[in-house]
Amino acid sequence: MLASATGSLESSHELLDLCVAGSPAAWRGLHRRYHGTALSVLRRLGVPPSQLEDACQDVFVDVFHYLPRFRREADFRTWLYRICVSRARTARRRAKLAAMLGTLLPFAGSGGNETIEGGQASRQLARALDRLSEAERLVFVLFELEGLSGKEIADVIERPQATVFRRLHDARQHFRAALEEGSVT
Amino acid sequence: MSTEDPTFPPPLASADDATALLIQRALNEPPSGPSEEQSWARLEARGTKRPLRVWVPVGAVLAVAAGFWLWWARPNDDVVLTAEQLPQRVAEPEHPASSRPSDAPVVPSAAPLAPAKAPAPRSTASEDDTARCAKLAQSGHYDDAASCYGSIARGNSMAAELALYEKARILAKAQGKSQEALATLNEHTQRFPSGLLGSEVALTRIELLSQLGRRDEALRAIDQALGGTLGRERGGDLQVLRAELLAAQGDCAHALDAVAAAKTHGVHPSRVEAIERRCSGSGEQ
Repeated sequence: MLASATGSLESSHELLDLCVAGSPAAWRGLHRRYHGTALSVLRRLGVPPSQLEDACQDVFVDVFHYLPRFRREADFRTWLYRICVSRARTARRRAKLAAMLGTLLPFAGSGGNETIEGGQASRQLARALDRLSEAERLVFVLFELEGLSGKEIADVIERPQATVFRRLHDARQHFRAALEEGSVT
Repeated sequence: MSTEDPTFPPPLASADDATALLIQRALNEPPSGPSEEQSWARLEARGTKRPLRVWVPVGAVLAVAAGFWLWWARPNDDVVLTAEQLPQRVAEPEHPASSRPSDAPVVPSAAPLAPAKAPAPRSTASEDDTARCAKLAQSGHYDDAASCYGSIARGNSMAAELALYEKARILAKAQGKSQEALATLNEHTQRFPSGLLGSEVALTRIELLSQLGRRDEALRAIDQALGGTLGRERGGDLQVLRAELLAAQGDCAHALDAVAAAKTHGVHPSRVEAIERRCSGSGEQ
């Protein structure tokens, strides 16, 4: 029965095949299934709220564009994370540039500090994540919050597992230190 | 140096300390940001266009600077290139673009929303059929497209589920056959109660029921939807529709309740102004 199979790997492949075949309903289904994942990983990777929706849309435009070329050797989720990581980086850069331009040219960008969205725990978590380096944050988010394995993270960031392990170790230390500091609580 | 893969520790959230508690609480909090429905609607509207955002002023400044530099650094004498001096044509790559060796996304350019032109890596009968149906719909052969999707929709696979929804959409939106579309959606609900596109089916069904004037059924469907995923995603829109239907039935008291509920979902007051006017004008019943 399809109802029990919609989340399985097999049905994921079928969904991807139907997307590539040009079924609008399949694209709709793909977006429905992975929108939440993309949004949460972008947010946790530090994309500011004002850029979040645009970044998420960029992720799916990339997916729609490049899916026909996607070979199924890698898991789709890993591939999606890779796009998210790339788009998060672009969005953060864009936000920095907008902030810079905002101070020089008031009409060019919003600029300024943005309020972190979400509940109390999410805000506390976000502030602690902001204290990590970009590389540490990436590994920490994928391992601790997105539940990826060391091997999957190594595939996403295209580095050996030993590197992932070391970054995770450092990230945990810095994360705990950030939580212990009064500024984070 | 060891080449063995390291053994990763268990995630922090699985421990029993303050850090684990914080992570667990954060993971359980409702997500912020745009809903999936809103995001899809924007994506559909946006299509292939990428917003220019802050790159417009930056690009303009760079273009002016580059133009000035080219003018300033122009050679004094006219140079005539001979055939020998022309650059050789770049050799064609061994692999066509569609078979790039890496799965990694390349630097994105303006990307079409649904290209679906490159061949699928592993094509099966249902994918070929789906591609054929999609082409028929794109070229405006709606009757053929609907029957094409209907033939795929016979099985129990995901292709069948999606094809059944696609058939209903063509019947409703392109052909205006609301009754047939409704019957197709009812079939979808029965055959795929937990299908991938359950919310879309429920929403389209509600729209069709209200278009057809079957208000009681539409109201029942809305009440049912409000308790599920669709209610969380589109609660405001559903309440507006509910208010309209109730007001049309003359049940202003409940219509105004629905208006109030819609406003708590963040619906702009202008969307429910007409209902409020209508109900306050006629007096609550």
